[in-house]
Amino acid sequence: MDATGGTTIQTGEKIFNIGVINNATFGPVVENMAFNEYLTRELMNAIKSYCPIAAKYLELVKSKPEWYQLADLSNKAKEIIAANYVGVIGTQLRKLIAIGKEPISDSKQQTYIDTCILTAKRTIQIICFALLSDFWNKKNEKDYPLSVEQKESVTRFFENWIELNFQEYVNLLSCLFAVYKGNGLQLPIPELAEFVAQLQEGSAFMKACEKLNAISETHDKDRYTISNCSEAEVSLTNLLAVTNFFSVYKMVSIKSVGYEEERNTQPKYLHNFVSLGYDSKTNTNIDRLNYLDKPISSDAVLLYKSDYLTGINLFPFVIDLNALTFEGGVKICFFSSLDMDDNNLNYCFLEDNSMECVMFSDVQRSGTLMNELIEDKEKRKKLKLDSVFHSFRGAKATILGQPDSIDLSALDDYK
Amino acid sequence: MQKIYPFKFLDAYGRDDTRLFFGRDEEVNALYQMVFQSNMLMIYGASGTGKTSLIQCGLAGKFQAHDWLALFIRRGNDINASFERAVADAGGAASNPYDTIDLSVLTAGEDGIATAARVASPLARSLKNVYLNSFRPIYLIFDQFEELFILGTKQEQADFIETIKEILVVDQPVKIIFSIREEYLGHLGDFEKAIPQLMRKKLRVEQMNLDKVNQVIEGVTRLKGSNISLKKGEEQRITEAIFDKIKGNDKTLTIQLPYLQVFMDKLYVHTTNDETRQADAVLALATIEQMGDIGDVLLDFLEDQVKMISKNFSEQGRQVTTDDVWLILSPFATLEGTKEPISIRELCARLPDKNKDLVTETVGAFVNSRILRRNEEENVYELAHDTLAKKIAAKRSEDEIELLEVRRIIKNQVNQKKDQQELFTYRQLARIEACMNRLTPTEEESRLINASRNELKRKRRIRNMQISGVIISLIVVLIIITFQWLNANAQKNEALKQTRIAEQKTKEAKDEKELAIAAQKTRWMQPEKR
Repeated sequence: MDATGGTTIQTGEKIFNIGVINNATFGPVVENMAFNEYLTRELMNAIKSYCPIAAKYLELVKSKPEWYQLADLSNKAKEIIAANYVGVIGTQLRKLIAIGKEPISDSKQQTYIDTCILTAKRTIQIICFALLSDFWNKKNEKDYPLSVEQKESVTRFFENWIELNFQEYVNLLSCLFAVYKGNGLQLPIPELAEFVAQLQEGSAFMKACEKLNAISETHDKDRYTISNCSEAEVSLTNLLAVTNFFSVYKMVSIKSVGYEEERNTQPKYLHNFVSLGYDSKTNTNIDRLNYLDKPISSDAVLLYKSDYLTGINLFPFVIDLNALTFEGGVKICFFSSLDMDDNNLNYCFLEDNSMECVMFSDVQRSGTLMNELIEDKEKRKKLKLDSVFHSFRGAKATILGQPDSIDLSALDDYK
Repeated sequence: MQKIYPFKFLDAYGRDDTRLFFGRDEEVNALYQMVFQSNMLMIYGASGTGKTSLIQCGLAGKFQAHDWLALFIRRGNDINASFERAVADAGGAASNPYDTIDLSVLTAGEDGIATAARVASPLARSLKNVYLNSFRPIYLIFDQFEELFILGTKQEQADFIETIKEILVVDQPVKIIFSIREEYLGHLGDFEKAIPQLMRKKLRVEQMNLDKVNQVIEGVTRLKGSNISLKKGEEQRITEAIFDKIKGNDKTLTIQLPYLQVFMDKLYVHTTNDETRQADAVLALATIEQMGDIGDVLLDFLEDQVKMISKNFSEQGRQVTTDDVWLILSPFATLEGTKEPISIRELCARLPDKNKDLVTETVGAFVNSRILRRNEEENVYELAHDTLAKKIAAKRSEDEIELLEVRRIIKNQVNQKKDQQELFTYRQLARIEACMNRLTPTEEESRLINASRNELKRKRRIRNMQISGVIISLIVVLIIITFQWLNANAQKNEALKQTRIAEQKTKEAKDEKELAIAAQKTRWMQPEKR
């Protein structure tokens, strides 16, 4: 290098810019970019049709072709991306952006790749949970059949003792789309009608999934390279680009629903909720209230576009543990697996991917007065957590069209 | 492999010490859960319970680097200025982030019209800049929060409350954690009125019980690479022996953490004789027994260090007694027995009769013995731990305490807002005058003292004049009364005289009349002449 006076090295199709060695530029270079630059550029372009502020931003920066490489400009773009992608995906993107800004290190590379894979997985999970929730509602009205393979795939989701891996979720996604198509059902997220083409082999989405899956299958994580980071970033970007409709969706967690009825008036419902995602903070403003004449399912975690009253309830696949235990703030957890020993439900806390076990305590034994349960705060919490269990079993029984195969009497040993 | 000495003496544990931090798992987990339940947390406990370590090591260790951006803020000279500086140092003071393209319009509503509500305050902009630099949630940790109430003014406290209110409504993820000594919780009344959620989520950090001490000792001895181990077969008894040694004769179920830290360090040195703390140490019951009755570990430690410093000076041919050394250390503790950070300059000003070089060297010696610590940013020195402050405060003489109280009286008045400043009362001035030869007041303090003196003189003058006036008035009145009395008396006498004269005349007239009547009678009684 000294001999040639060069500032770049090329290995294969990757060009590494080492002219100015700092944390930003010593990274995977595709078209001479560092961490998150490709993601920022592509996602802003992907969401501009859904997101007016993104379109406005791109209009403002059009005089700067390399805007995504200028920190002062690109930070604003990153903020727009993290703020606009729905709730939990926005939170994952925030983490990814933060990791990208860290000084270069082996652990940074590993964390970056893991977060790319996780973000992609969460995106797929949200679609799966939305489809499962909606199909559950539809099946409560009419018995839509599942084929043997479909039943097998869905059963694996409900009865697995280990969380489904990335590829298994992709398979579940394909299976659920097939269920909808086979039964002529309307998709709960209208934009999925266009997305369904992405489930074909060779599509941008499937290629991205294959690449991410291949990286996640790498057992020796110490051998992650800068190239892996680049591949992960590009794959995630491509996946999010075809799910760009999520930039107009929002999520809320319903903390509580109050009821008021004055004499000779219509009843009113006080919805106490928290918006999820980028601005998910327990701020004095963030616990919001709506005073409406329609109830809403309590403890719901809703995915919606304009009005959460018409949103898709992702409960019990996505839960807010803080809402269930009467705490402020949010603690959003995604369903992970059944507990091997006692069939309790394991949920993954999105902030740190730690496992939270929702234990079934069957506090509402026959003969127990509801008042007694409600008056005792600890028993009320157990009642709430039991509702997760009941909902989960109910969803499983309805969707699979069969009685619950889990023997609850075995739980008596653990009470 | 380099051996690790796992004890931090009186220093707080930081994020890099996560693997050395034991005995607080419950508290760390509770705190971690609370972070997701509220944007404001209060951590309180007695001095020396490890609140700072709990946050900057325990809690910090629960987060990945990309989920944690902590700004630690101590009051310094003014909590609001310290906070501003911390935010600016973290990248909040962006010069002009959009120097080529004006993106500020993007903060407007989607219709492009900026509304008043969307115009961000300077603080909000600063926090936004900090956030955009790293995209990490911001944790504002106000450590040693009691300093605001010990050393701060009412105005400073009021300004700080407004700052906190502003932080609570910014758009970015910002959490606030206060760490305060529990005896100062009562000072938070006004704060809580203004910010009701202040005490909603709180955690009390308790002293160390035997179980926690066991966790600490087990943890440090099992740590990979640790140069501390326990003699086989004595593990449990060693922990109990350490606990009992520190507890002494106190009928208590807990010990103070700094005592444990200091004692373990002392035990190590006693076992190995290695001041560099590199050698391997196998702690045994016998060694612990040899240490005898340790009494107050911290006080002993302080006294040992003071003696050693005094002795070192003596060996250099300089006469510096232990009292001199204590005097130099004393200003680092407040009247209440809390830490007070001071610069060398301020220290010399408080010790006018001590040589500056002596003061500087003594401070250096205290730093070397880990009693004092230097804060490079503020260029001040402070005690390594609050618990040392209490011990130092307890060693003070009556004279010293009086001097400190007088300084407090002066400072309290000077720190008031100008329109609320009051002059010193007579009694206060008397105390100040008694200590004047040991005080080096600032210009403003001198101004207030002189103004108070002048006011007192003026009041005395007025009082004297008033008294004189009263006396003169009294005299005048007395004279008038006397004159009037005399006058009245004279008139009375005259009247009496006139009365007597009148009576005399009346009597004379009566006598004449009686004579005339008698004469007439006599004439009647004589016969008629024919």
